[in-house]
Formats: sequence, C-alpha cells, structure tokens
Amino acid sequence: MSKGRNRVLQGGASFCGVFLLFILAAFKPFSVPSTSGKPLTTEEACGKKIYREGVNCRGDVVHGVLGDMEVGGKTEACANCHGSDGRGRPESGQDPGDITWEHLSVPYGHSHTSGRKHPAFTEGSFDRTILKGVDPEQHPLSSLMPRFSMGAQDLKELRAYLRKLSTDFDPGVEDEALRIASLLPLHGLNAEAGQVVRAVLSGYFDDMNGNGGVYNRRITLDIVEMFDDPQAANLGPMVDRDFALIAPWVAGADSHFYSSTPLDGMPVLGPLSLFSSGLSPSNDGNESNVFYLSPGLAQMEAEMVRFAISQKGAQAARSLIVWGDKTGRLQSDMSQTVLSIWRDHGAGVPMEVGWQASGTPGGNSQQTAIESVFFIGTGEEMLEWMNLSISRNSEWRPQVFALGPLLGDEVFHAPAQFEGKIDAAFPALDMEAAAMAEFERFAAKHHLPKEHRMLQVSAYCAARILEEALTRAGRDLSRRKLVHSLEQVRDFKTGLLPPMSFGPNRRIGSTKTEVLCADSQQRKFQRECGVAARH
Amino acid sequence: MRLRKTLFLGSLALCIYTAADAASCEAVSAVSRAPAQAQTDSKPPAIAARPIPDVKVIDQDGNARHFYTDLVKGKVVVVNFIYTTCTTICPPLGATFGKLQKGLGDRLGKEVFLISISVDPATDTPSRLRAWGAQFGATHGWTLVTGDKGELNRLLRVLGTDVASPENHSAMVLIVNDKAGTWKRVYGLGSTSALMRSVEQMLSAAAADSSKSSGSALGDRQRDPQ
Repeated sequence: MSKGRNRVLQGGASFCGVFLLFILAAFKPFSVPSTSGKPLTTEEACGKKIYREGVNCRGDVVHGVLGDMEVGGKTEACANCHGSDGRGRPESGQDPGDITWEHLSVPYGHSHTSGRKHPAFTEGSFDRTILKGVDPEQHPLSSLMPRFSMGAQDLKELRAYLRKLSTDFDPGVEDEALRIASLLPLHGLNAEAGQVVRAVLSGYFDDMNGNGGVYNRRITLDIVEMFDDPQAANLGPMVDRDFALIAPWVAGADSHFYSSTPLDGMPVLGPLSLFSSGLSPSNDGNESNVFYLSPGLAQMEAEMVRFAISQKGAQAARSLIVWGDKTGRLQSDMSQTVLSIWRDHGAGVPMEVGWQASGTPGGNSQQTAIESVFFIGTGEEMLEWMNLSISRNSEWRPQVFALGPLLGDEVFHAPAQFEGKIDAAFPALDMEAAAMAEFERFAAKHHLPKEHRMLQVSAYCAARILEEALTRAGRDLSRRKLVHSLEQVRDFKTGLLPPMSFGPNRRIGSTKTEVLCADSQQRKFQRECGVAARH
Repeated sequence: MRLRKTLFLGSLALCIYTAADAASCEAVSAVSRAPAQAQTDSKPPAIAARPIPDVKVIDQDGNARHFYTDLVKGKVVVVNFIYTTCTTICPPLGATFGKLQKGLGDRLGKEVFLISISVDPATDTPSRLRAWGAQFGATHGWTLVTGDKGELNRLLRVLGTDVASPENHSAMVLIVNDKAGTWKRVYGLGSTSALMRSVEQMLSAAAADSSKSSGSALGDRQRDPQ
C-alpha cells in the first residue's frame, strides 16, 4: 500500500473519529444517568414527598392557586404534570417541561417554542417561579402552573430533591443490576416446595444473565423467607431494597396481606396462591400492583357452577352447597361469589350447609331430592362428609362438584357409589409440545426434581412474563413503568399455561378453568367430563 | 372535517397563548362551526344543532343510562371531558367542576347538571369514575359516565371532542341549554369565575324561557333516532 494511500486512510480515520466526537458532543446524549447508589438525605426525601404527594414532612398540605381556584395536595403535586422522573409529559397541548435541576440550570438558558426566553434558573429565580409563576425574566408561565404557598424550608427541600431527581431510581434499580425478590418458605412443612421454586427462579435468571440480562442489567434474585404467619415477616427492608416481587408464597392470606402490607408500588407478579385478588370473577376495578397468572378458588368455583348449570343441568332447587372447610375461611371468602353466580341465572340459590351436616337436614326424602352437591373443602373433608352422608342413605348418588387444587389422591378412594360422579375444577393448562420440551430441558439443566411440577411451571411462567414486561418497559425503568408494561400484556403465550392478558382493570392473566372427572380406576383426573373455559 | 378541526384547534391555541378571558373563547370557537355568523354576532352564538346521539352510557354508580334522554333532554348541563388516569389537565378540570358544584349549591341537580364524560372508556370503569369524582367532592347532580368505546366515540364526535388518543383530549367545557337549543364552549382551564358567569347566563336565559313554548324543537331534533 502506498504511503499516500496510507495517509488518506489515516486522515480519513482521524476525520471520522473527530466527526464522531463532534456528533456525540453536539447532542446531549439521552441515557439514564448513573445511579449514585446513595440513599436520599432527609432533606431530599422531604423534597420528594412534596414533589410526589404535595405534602411536606411536617404533615402540611402544600396549597396553591390555579387561576382563581385554590388547589393543593396530591391532585396538584408536581409529579402529576412533570412526571415522576421530572421530564414532563405533554398532554392536551400542554407541555409541562423538564424540571430536573440539570435541565433548569443549563448555562445557555432556555428558549421556548412560544418565543419566551430566559437565562438558567438559580435558586432565587426558581423560588420565584414556584411562588409567583414567573420565569427568571419575570415572564408569566402557563396558567396551568399553580402558584404555590411554600415556606423557605419547603423550597429548600424541593430544590434538593430536584437536584437528585434524575438519579433517584426506584429501589433495586442499578446501572448494571436489577434486584428481584421472592418470598418463599425455606423451613417447615412447605420448605421443599419453596426450595424448588427458588431453584426455578435462580435457574431462569442465571440463563437471562448469561444472555446479557435486560438492557445490560443482570437480575439479582433476593430470596426472603416467608413464615407460616405472613404477618410475621418484616418486609420493609425488602421493599426498600428490591424492585419487584416474583412468585411469592403468602400462605393463602393474599387479600389481607397485600392490602395491609405497604409495598410502595412494588409490582408483584405470579403469586403462588389459590386466592387470587378480586374474588369477584369480573376482575374489575382492581388497582393493586399484584398480577396473578391463574384463577383462584373463587374464580374456579364460579366456573364450576356455570359448568354444572350449562353442562350438567344442575338446578338450584336440587342442589346443595356444602361448606366442607373446617376453618370456615373458604365460606367467608367465597360465599357471596358463589351465590351471586347462582343469582345471575335467575333461578334461586341452593341450600347451604356447613361441614358438620351429613347430607341434608330433614331426612331421607330431602336428601334424595338433591341431585348436585357443590362441596367446597379439601379432599379429606369431602371423604369424611361422603361417608357420613351415605350412612344415612346408602342409595344417594348426587353429582359432586369439587375444587381440584384442594383434592389429593384420597379422592380416588371415595365410596364406590360416587364412582364417576366427582367433577373437579382446575386452572386450565395449555401445554404445547415445543414449550414442554423446552421446559424439560430447562428442568434437566438446573436439576429440578420431578415433584412440585405445577409450582415449577407457575414460577417459570412468571419469570418469562417478567422478562417480557421488563423488555417492553425499557432501560429507563421504574416500578410504575413495569406495572404499566404488565398492563399491556395481551395473549402472551408461555406454551404451558393459557395465553395471559392483563390490563388496567385486569389482574388475573387467565381465568380459564377446566373441569375434569375423577377416575378411581385410572387414579387420575380425566377430561371426559367436559371443559368449562372462559378467558 | 379535518379543516374544521384544524380551525377549531387553532382558535383554541390562540385562546391559550393570549391567556384570554374564558368567555372570549366561545366567540372564537364558533368560527369553526359557523364562520359567517360569528363575525358579526355580539352575543353567545347558537351553534348549529347536530343530533346528540342517545348512546348508552354507564354512570359512576354502575347504572345504565341513555345519554341524551336521561342526562340532557330538557336540562341545562355543563359537560367536561376527562379520564381517570390523566394527571395533567384532568385534576384541574375536576377541581373546576368541584368549585362550580359549590357555587351552584342547591341548584345543582335541579336547575343545572354537571356531566363528566370519560374519553378512555376502555380503562374507566364506574368504580374508577366514582373514586376520581370523590377527589373533588362529586355529589348528586354531577354524573360521570363511561361505556362502550364505539358508542362514546360516536358521542364525542358529535360534541367535537373526539381525538385519536385520550392524552390529546379537549379541555373545553360545553354548556348546553337543551330546551332553548343553545350551546356554549368555554375553555375549562381558564378562570372559574368566567365559567360560572357563563353558566349563570345560561341559567338566566333558561329561567326566562321557562314560561315560553313547551318543548323545544331543537330538543326534539337533537335526539338521534335509534
């Protein structure tokens, strides 16, 4: 190669390098600033409270005037218009603008599309903006910007937070890592199941990290031990440390737990639970950050009733609801849901009896008239009830509708006259061969045991949906963005569970239920009883 | 339609930029609908009537209603457009209605009614609307409605406030005297005093007309035959 050509190439390379530097210098690179990793100071934390909630640390509501109207508090908090990230969000022709301190204090000042120009904000001019609604050149701001009444301390705290705002990420979000927690039993009766779920989540996140994680963030799994009494767990540190919660095990105390535990907007995905939120099957109006994958007992029972009426001709007058659960918990949780389904069909509601009753009260004639029994309790409780009932009338053979997840192998030892007469509702599966093969490879790779397969599938699917939602949410991550991203999930196929869909008013991914028949000969549940499926 | 919408939005932008008194927006916005008339009239214009679709809506208590028949016919109503997950202009719109509600006192629910229409019916359930209205003290006489997206879009089109996405919804407030067939469009984020004055003017006109002809031709014309 000639020297001349070498010089041309070298010169060209130098020019490209300079050009590239020029390009990078000319444009303010939009990237998420490095997380400082430092917690907020007291002053900054108080400023954040003002910014997001419109209340200061002294408990005073921040008031202001909007036009000729007094406003204040949460409805007029700064974050509403300027966003939790401070960058503003245009709406209806209004552009609230970026109020991070880096932006406010740019040395070259500001030039707005309206033609209004002014120098950079200083602390003094910023305070005048808040109090009087004018920019550093005393030009009035938009009439949508309230003029606030704030004392010197409030202003100082707000300024402190605006300096921190662009690096104030939600807990668990770091430059190169994202902390995800799970609540699992590690000791006691359910320890084995807890360890299996831990293995699934660890394996899945290890595989993700091996592929670069999500937007260059490695997932760090934080296992927090769940005890028999969920209220005994001190979850404050977890909420302050981790970004989201996946596949938690809350020992059946979901609705109370999630409503009483301050999670600070922490998204919760795929609780391992039979008590999905919003016991109403309509899935309506639930604004919680808890996203369930599968229907809970109430939803399953609702589908079971619909199935019994439409497929098996069950009639209210000839049906009985037996609350077999000795704790009474199921009845208190599900009674209204079950009865409302019957009322929807407009033909009255069945008689209800408690677990102590053997068959129906009132004698053999009433008992024989009952053709359908909706037994709500465990398999052991059901067998006990069956034996008591037939002791009064050995010829009685009602169709029994039960909740599959509460039944064990004992159901295949039911009295002979109930052979082929036990239907059970389960969350539907939707297994595709390719997805099953992939899961089996995953299970083999991570040495997962054969036991607790359904728990493994649930945790695996939760991790898959989390990965999808994190990908959609983008690099600029917050808890609120993840919730929004989850709400956009539509017909997401895991190939193992039915397609999942969430929404602003939908917190159960799939409410599909299938009804199977207990086959005591084969000692398994079979499909011949038919399918009750709803999305 | 696009030109009219452009003219309307352009005139609205002019209102915002000049921070004009809210009442002046009425005359300006009328240009988009009846150019020849707005140039010369000095009083609030009667914008050419278009049938208000009697679409099915659901109120904040979960009751099914017909928008025109149940909520508008024969009444003076004040209408704004909101959605519950909107955090920029909807809180001020709600606060404005809250202040209007206070100012109207006992007349609300009798002589005049407030209606908030959701522009995001896919998200806004009755319970969400109820919770949103509660922030501003919504009480009897202030109805918040949602419903089927297609039906609501049909309604919003006629009212001139349909947009491709909720984030671009209108901040306009419509004041309607159905019996007299008169409408006013007022900027919903301006002076609440000016809005109150516009409502009072409409109420005064309604009171003056109350002894006149029974049933309005416009009221009948406005009902969209199903």
